[in-house]
Parts: sequence; structure tokens; C-alpha cells
Amino acid sequence: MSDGREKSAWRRFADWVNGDSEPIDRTTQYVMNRRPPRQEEPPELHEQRERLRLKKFLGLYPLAAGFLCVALIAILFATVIYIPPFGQPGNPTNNEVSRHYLEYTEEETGATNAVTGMILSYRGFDTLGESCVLFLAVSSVMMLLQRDKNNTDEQTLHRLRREDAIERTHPDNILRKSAKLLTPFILLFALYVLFNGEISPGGGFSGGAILGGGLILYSSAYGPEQLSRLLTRSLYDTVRITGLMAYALTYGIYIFAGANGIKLEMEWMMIVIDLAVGLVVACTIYGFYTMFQRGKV
Amino acid sequence: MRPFYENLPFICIFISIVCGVLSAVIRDGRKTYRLALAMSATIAVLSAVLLYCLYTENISFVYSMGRFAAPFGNAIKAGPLQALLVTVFAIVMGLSLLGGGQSLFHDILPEKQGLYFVMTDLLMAGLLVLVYTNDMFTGYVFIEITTIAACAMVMAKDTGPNLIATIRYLFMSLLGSGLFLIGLTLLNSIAGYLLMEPLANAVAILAELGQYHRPLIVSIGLMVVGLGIKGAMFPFHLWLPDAHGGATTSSSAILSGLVLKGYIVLLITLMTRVFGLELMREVGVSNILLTLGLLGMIFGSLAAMREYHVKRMLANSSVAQIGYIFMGLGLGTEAGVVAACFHILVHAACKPLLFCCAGRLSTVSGHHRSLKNLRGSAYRDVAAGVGFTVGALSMIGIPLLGGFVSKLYFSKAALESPFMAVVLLTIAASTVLNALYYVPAILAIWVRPPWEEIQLIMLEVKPEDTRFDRSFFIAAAAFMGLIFLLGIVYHPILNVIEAGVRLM
Amino acid sequence: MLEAIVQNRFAVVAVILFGIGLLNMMLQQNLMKKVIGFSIMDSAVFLLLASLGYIEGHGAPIIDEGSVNASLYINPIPSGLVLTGIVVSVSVTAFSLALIQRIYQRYGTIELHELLERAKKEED
Repeated sequence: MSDGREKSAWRRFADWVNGDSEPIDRTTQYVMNRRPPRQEEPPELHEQRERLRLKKFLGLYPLAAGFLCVALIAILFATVIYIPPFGQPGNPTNNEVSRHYLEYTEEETGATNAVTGMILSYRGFDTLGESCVLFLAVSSVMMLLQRDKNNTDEQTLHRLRREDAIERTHPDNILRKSAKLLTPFILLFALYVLFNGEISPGGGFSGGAILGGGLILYSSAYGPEQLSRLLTRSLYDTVRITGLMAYALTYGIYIFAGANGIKLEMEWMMIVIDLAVGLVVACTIYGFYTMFQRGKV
Repeated sequence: MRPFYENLPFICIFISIVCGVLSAVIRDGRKTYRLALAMSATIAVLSAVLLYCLYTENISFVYSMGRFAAPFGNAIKAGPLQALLVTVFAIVMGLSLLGGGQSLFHDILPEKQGLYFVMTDLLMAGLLVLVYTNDMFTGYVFIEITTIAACAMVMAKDTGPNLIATIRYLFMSLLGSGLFLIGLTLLNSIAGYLLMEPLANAVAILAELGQYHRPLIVSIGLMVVGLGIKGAMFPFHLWLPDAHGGATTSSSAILSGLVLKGYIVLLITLMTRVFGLELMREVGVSNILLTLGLLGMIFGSLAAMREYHVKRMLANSSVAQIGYIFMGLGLGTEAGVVAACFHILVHAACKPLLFCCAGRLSTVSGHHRSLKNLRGSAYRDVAAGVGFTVGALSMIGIPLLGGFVSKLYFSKAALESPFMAVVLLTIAASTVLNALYYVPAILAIWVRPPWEEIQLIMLEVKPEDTRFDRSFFIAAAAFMGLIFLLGIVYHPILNVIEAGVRLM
Repeated sequence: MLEAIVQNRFAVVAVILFGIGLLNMMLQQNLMKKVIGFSIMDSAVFLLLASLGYIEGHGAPIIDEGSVNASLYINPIPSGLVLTGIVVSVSVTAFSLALIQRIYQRYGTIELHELLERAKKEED
């Protein structure tokens, strides 16, 4: 636009918006010029500078982090010797809340194990959050490791096929026989722990972990193919989701009724929740194992 | 019998958990996407109703999660502030998903899309509980839910740098929650409660008698630092640019706009409800927060000026904006907390808009991210260009936009502080720095490059990318409306926040 | 000083473990070692938490029928919290291990500084 004609302010502005001319005020020019040197530098130079920055960061980081960590540890050490002495009944933690739990658990929740009564009934919302954490963990591990075109190459598939073939042709007889013998008892014990959580040590979490352990033993003895014929992906998903859903719904009803003062017979709640937690935990443990090993359920 | 509206917070939490589980059943990307949008809309509407009820009656209430009243059972507490925050969070969540929808389905493999929405739904549940919780340990459990869901959302794009950014983010987050947990344990050992009201009483008595003085200070410090690390407080922010800058657009928007805020809201709850602002000032934690906030405001902006990658520039600018929030909290006065809460809302509206617009601009420029390749891109999608401009101007603090009001109230709050001069000067300096990187970015997208360069870029652009994206347009328009709303009718909103902080 | 240390021996051991875990987590370059450090750190916190609930001479909080006397049992709250905490830590560990497996598949290394350099090169 160098026709020498004096432009109106509006015209200049329109040109500037269209990108036809350079802005004339100093500030804008300054601000625009700030960028170009970096944008037009050759990529090698830029890369070199980035590498230098990274090196500086990696050199400085351990010093700073080490210093902070040591300071933190010293502070913690100087703190914990001043906390209330270990094992004394008069400590602030042993207040009326814990006495209430011990004295009224059986009456109010029907459990004689105060820990089970606490985590499933008094503080059950935490436990719901915890089951959600487990659910999330399996989902995110699936997101990472489930076979798709991003994380699978021919080599991995080849390795998996070879492992299957070895499994079929050279089964480990000692492992198979003992697994066959042990698995029923492990599952039985898991159910015992699961359903007796209210009156003895145990409950959904421990029972579920044992159940998952039994599944893993069976799977590693007979090969994952064998078990995934019994426990297909859809069955696995159904069990996992039914578990959490049953928990959420039961507990939702319980919270709603409890908070609004509606009287409900919730004797069955503990059993349902224990079972649901057990299923979620078992599926999580087995899911981790099979996802890490095979990348599919 | 309690009035029905008191059930709404619980119903919102319940809906988001059930939607998360349902998404795992459905597994189809498009359907779960619609479910997540419907969930956000429902929660926004329910929370708005709750906000109306609470604000007109000027009350807050404790809702026991089960039969057992505090201090024996879990509880949540809702007041006008919580209802307002949740309403805005739900709106922003829905709009971020809407605005980044196209690139979301482009970036994530079809079979993993269902899982992505499991994460968003449970993230919403985590955020809701972080805002509403009245129990320390529930807070810890849902911090972890939020962490896992947020990390999974970063890595969903599944490229190499993405995975590395995720693991750095994960380790820093774990450090943060570890420090929070050990602080919580120490506090429990000297005060003995987990519910916030009895805990506050116990803490007040301890502070008055001077008993267990050292463990008390250390536990407060550990919890603040733990939440600060997760909220990207200044020296602990190094994970943020890669994690937020590399993720898919919706994830970046949600992480910057909401996840950081969730932890900070929990910190505000602790400061006002449990420890009390007076104790925070007395033990010097406030001053530390103030210093780190001021440093963050400057260094975040300086780091953003060095960036050429538009999303990482925005992520670095988040560090600066989070610095404002910590600075407001560090003033240790009610006015400072109010300004910080308002800035949470402003930033939750601006940053997702900027991320969505940046994502859209890079989509219409052949998925390039560096600013030089985005030259003139605003003409290829005018809505994105306008949205980016409005968001950036609001971040700089131009009147009529939300950012101006929050800066105004920060300055007002600083007037009462003994560090008035430092704070005001830093706000001024930071505003100039903000302008120094946002104005060039605005100019870069609006100034047309030479014709040959456009031709070169257009070669890489697929025709389906330049098609009009209706859901993005709706999201950008709604975000801009929200920013103007915050910038023009700020009085009622500040009244709600003030009432909320009083009724904490 | 020495008396205080002996009195709070569990807490002191927990802090030492926490320090070991923390230093490993922050300073190791190998991602696996970082995860191990994190596990140690979390276990230390659980040790501290569990030791809060113990009362000398009292039994496990499983109430015998007929004798509802709170002074016979230890405090059940910390045990319940530890249970919750352990589950959370297991989930997080599994997630980070899965991430490391994917990173190893893609880059063939799990040393953080090498990974950072490679990641810088890949960006546009």
C-alpha cells in the first residue's frame, strides 16, 4: 500500500487488522518484535539451548530436592518426639468417638468387629470412595495396557503366542496338580473371610484379596486362556460393575434414609456391602495381574 | 425432617459416581460423551437451585452421610460458597468437554474413549467431595480419586512425551498427598478428631493453651505444602507445563480450570473452618503463602514469555494465576479469601476458554502448536480467535472482563495488609508481564502472514478440520458470556462469596 | 531427648522410613526405584498412623459378647484409616507401574533424564 496517499486513521486500522501493513505505534511494534528472533532461529541452535537448559535443570534439581528433603526429615524428626507418648490410654486420639465405636458398634451396626463396623457403617462414605479408587485404578490400567494399535507390535504378539504354545505343549504338572488341589480351598477360605468380617478379623477387603489370589493361582497354573474361557471379558466387567453399583446404590439409599431420619431395616446392608467390596477387590487384583501379563481380560 | 434441598449435594455426588460406573458399562465413546454432558448439566442445575435456596435463607448446613450424626459418622457441609463453586465447576466441566469434543475424538483411540469419560465423571465426583467435605480423611480419599483421574486424563492422548509428563505429574501429586497424609496423621495424634467442627474446637484449645505447639505448626505446614504441591504453588510447579500443555484440549481445560482449584478449595476450607485465619497468621504460614504466591505471579509469567508452544504458554500462565490465588490466601484476611474465591471463578472461566480456543486454532492450522504456525489462524475460525482474544484480555485485566474485577479486589484486600506496597507493585508488574505475552499471542493469531506461508499451512489442513464446529462455537460463546457476567454483574456474586465465607 | 525417642519409638522409626522413601522418590533417576521409594514412604505413614491407635495391654477391637467395656480394646479408628490408606496406595502403585511399563515399551529405558531428553526432541 505504498501509494503515498495520506490514509485515514480508520483505513490504517483496517489495514493493520487485515495484516496488510505494519502497525505504526511504537509499543505494538516493540511487542511484535519481541518474538521474531526466537521464532526464526535455526532449529539446531534452539535444540542445543533446550538441551543446555535441561542439563542445568538436571544438575540443579538434585541439590534443591535433596536439601528440601533433608530439611523436611529433620523437621519431622524434631516434631515426632513431641507428639503424645506411644500406647497411653490418655492420648487425645482415644476420645469419646473411639469409645462410642467400641461400646455401641454391636448395638448400632450389628458387627462385633469394631473396625468393620466403623469402615462399613460409621465411616462408610470413605469406603465408597476407596472402592471408587480401585475401580478407577483398574480403568486407568486398562486404558494404558489394553492391547490397541498404539501399544502392540508384532514382536509382543509373537512372544505371547510362543508362551501360549509352551503352556500347551509343556504344562507344569506339579503346579497344575497343586493348583487343582488348592484352588477350591482358597476360594472357600476367601468366602469364609468375606462373610465373617463382622464378627472376626477379615471382611470385604481381605476376603476379596484372597479370592483374587485364588484366581491368579489358577490362571498361572492352567494358562490365562483356560481361565479367560470361564471368566470372559463381559462376565468380568459385569461382576466388577455390579459390585460397585450394588455398593453405591445400597449405600446411597442408606445415606438418604439416615440423613432424612427415615427408619429402614438395614440389617442386610453390611452383608451386601461386604460382598460387593469383596467382588470389587477380587476383580481389581485379578484385573491388575491379567492386564500386566496379557493386556486383556 | 430436613428440607429436601439439603439432599442436593449428596444427590450430585451420587449422580456423578453412578454416571462414572455407567460409562464403564456403555463403553461407546459418543454415548458416554453425551452422558458426561448430561451429568454436568444436571449437577449445574441442581447446584444452582441449592445456591438459590441457601443464599435466600442465608444458611449453611451439615448433612450427615448416614444415620450417625457428627462426630461419629461422615458428614458434608454446604453453604452458599460451596454451592456457587460447584455450579461454576459443573458448567465449566460441561463446556470444556463440549469445546474440546472434536479434538478429543481425534486424539483418543475409539476403544479407550469410554474409559476417558469414566475418568471425567469420577473426577467430577472427586471435585464435588473436595468442595463439600466436612471430614479430613474423606478429603484425603477423594484427593487420591482426583489425582488418579486427572493423571489418566493427561495420558489419554497416549503419545510418548505425554506418558513422561504423566509420570512426572503422578510422582509430584503422590508427594503432595503423602505430605498431606502425614500432616493429617500428626494433627490426628494431637487433636484426635477427623470431623472438621470438633477438630477446629480441639485445635483452638491447643493453640490457646500452647500445648503441642510444634506438632501443630508442623502439621499445618505439611498440609498446606501438600495441597500447594498439588495446586502448583510456585516452586513446586515444574510438572505443570508439560502435563497441561501436552494433554488433549479438554483435559488441559479441565485440569487447569478445575483440578487445581479443587485442591485449593479444600485448602481454603481448612484455613477458614479448621485452623482459622488468625492461627494461620500467628504461626507464619500466611506469610509463606504470600511470598510464594508473589514469586509465582512473577516467575510463572516470565516462564510463559519464553514459550513458543501456545498450550505450554497457557499452562505457564496458570502458574502465575494460581500465584494470585495463593497471594490472596496469604493476606490472611477475609477480604483476601473472598478475592481468591472470586479469582478461582474467573480463572475457571478464562483458562478453559483459552485452551479450547488454542486447541481449535491449532486444529484449523494442521495440528501445529507453536505460535509461528498459528499466524493468521484466527481468520480460519473467527469464533476461536474472538474467544482467545476475550480470554487473554480478561487474563491481562481489561475492565468489563472478569480478570479486572478480581485484580481490583486483590488490590483492595492488599490495602489492609502490612505488605501493601510489595503486593500492589507485584500485581502491577505481573499485569505488565501478562500483557507482554498475551498481546503478542493475540497479534500473532490476527496478523495475516504472507500468502505463500498460508498456502504452506493449508496444505496440511484436512478439509474436515476446517468445517464449522457447532459444539465448539456454543462452548466458546457460553464461556465468553460467563466472563462478561463475572466482569459486569460482579456485585451479587461477591455478595454470595462473602456470605459463603462468613458461613464457612 | 533419649527418653522421648524411646517413648515414641514407632514414630521415630516411621520418620526414618519416611526419609528413606522420600529421598529415593525424589533423587533416584530410575522410575522403578522411585515407585519403590513411594511405597516405603506410604508404609511409613501407615506405621505412624497405626501406632497412634495402640494402647498398651489392650486387645484387638473385636467385642466379646457380654463384655462391652471400652477400656479392654485398642482404638479402632486408626486401624480403619490404615485399611483405607493401603487400598489407595495399592491402586496408585498399580497405575504408576502400568505407566512405567508403557514408557519402557516405547523408549526402552526408564531412566528419567534420558526420557526427558528424548521427550524434548519429539515435540514439535
